[in-house]
Amino acid sequence: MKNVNFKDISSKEVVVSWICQIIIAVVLAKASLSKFMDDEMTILVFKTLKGMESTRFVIATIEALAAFLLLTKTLPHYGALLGLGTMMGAFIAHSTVLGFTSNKELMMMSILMLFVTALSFVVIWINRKRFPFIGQTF
Amino acid sequence: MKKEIWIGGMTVDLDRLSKGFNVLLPFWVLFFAFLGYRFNFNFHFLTVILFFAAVVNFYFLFIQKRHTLLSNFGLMAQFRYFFESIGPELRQYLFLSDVEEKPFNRIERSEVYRKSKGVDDTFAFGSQLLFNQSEFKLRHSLFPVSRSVIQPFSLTFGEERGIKNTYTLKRPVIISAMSFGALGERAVRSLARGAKKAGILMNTGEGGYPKYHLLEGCHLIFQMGTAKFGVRKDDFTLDDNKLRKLAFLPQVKMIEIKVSQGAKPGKGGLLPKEKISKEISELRGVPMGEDVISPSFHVECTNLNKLVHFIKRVQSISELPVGIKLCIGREDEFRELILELKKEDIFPDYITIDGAEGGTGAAPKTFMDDVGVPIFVALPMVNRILNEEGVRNKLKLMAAGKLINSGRQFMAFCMGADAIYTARGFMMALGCIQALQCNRNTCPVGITTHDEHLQRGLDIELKSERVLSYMKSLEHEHVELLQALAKKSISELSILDLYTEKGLS
Ligand SMILES: Cc1cc2nc3c(=O)[nH]c(=O)nc-3n(C[C@H](O)[C@H](O)[C@H](O)COP(=O)(O)O)c2cc1C
Repeated sequence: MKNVNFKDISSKEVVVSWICQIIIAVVLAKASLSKFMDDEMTILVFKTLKGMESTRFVIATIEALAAFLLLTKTLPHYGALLGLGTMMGAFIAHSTVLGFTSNKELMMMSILMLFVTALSFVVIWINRKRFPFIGQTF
Repeated sequence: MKKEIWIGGMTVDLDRLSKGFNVLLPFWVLFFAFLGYRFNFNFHFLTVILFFAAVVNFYFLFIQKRHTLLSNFGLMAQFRYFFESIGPELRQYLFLSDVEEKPFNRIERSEVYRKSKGVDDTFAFGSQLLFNQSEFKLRHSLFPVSRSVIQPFSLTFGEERGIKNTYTLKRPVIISAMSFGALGERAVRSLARGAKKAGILMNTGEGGYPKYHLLEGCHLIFQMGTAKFGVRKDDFTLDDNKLRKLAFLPQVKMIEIKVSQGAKPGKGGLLPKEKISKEISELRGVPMGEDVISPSFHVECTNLNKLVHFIKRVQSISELPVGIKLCIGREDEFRELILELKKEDIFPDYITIDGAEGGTGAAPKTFMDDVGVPIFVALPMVNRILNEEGVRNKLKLMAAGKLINSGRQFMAFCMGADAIYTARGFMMALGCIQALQCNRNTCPVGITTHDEHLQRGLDIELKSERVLSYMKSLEHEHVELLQALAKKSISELSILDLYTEKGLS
């Protein structure tokens, strides 16, 4: 397979990407941690979602993995993709079951969710050429 | 990808499979979203994954234009890239080597692909060819010359007869005859637009009135096949008025009478009535609803003398340079033709020699494989006969037959060609993947098909850039080769610049 020519990504873009990566990683790490630490709010949220009670730890693991990947030099695009995936799941949960604005904490979560989604897009776009097969088509 | 594959005794139609996949994908997303909503939130894992797939699929199908296969088949076509990427390993360990595919092996094709995309087209480590079997090599000089002494290419057709409408070729490579009919509308337009951008000449093929070629404004050679599509009367004879009108079009610079073609020498053809759409019937000037036969020779030309006078007739009607295209069969017959030309003092303005290895939209296998003389045998022979008969300076000589890279093109120059024709080189520049389905209207990359769905992925603007890039890259190498061979121009090349095992003279 053809290797990506990293000259395709300008140094300005690299900086922007890293800033986004770090912010997303921090948010995801925090979210992951609160799930592992049995935070009351998260327990409640996952109880509300049908069949998800124990999936909480799966999501937490994915978030942790995403945060880790985002801080690596070679795989941040996969981290951002995983992050985007979890955010989409969260979006589905908010829009079908939880709602966005019924209390202050939910509102905070929703805003963070949109924020991370946007930043993940930025990271994925900047690093799009790194995805195998698909990346070459952009 | 209209290809059937066998899986455990079952055939799978990949074209249908991909269409089904593309239509169903959004429904799968909705389906899992429903399951997640109604029964178990965990189904949303699938919702999310499939949603990503659907977005990417949408992008491939409707937004990106670079990759025809992806526009036509979407995500499923990624399998091709995937298998292609692990292909070298698979082939190396299991299947073919890089030089085994036919008619063009992977190395030859990938060189054109890279040139047409303008990416690095150098290879590493060494040649993949079997050296003790290849017959020709170019002889470089101990003292290469500098770029500044290389003269630009220029070749004037019709100067020998001193006619008014001479045509001066500025680029040594011409897009060889491929008819609208064999090619779809978009392929013709991509080539024609590319020809315009690159300043190269394009042959219309025997598809009749060149409507789509004219749209793009490039210079054209109008080809008259044995059925004389576009300029015929119902009995296959030439309609002088129609030819005069065509020749009068400012874009039409030369006329070519096709006597025979390398892939099917001595064979006519049949245009089945199913293929005769309203448009084709108009452009070719044939009735709808019945099969149209192409005779195996021009009905006016039943002997040498008549052939020679037919050339003269076309020359005087069109007032343009007129050439003939043929594949060599018998050496003595060709010499007789030249003697007849000499006797009557009538000469075509050029002769195109099409090698037996030439391509076609459709021909019986035995004609492709077993009839006609290959270009590297025919060309030196023709050049020798023309010289022996003292008429080499009466006409120009062009060559076709897998001359898709600068090396083979230079070999042809050395053997006497003044300019090069290639058809399949330019097809590959358009993205031909050698699916070998030109005769079935199912070309997966939309080149030799009239199917709208399949043509959709062929972006004319982008593909015309590929044609330009391919041509630029060839010319760049021509200059480098001239420097290495210490020649100032292509016209200085001769057989002495060629190493051959057996020796040609
Ligand atoms: C799809 C296709 C259509 C062709 N149509 C014509 C045609 O209409 N008239 C003709 O003289 N040659 C036709 N040819 C032959 C080419 O013009 C050319 O002589 C031959 O392919 C050798 O060149 P190449 O090896 O570079 O392709 C066709 C070839 C292909 C591949």
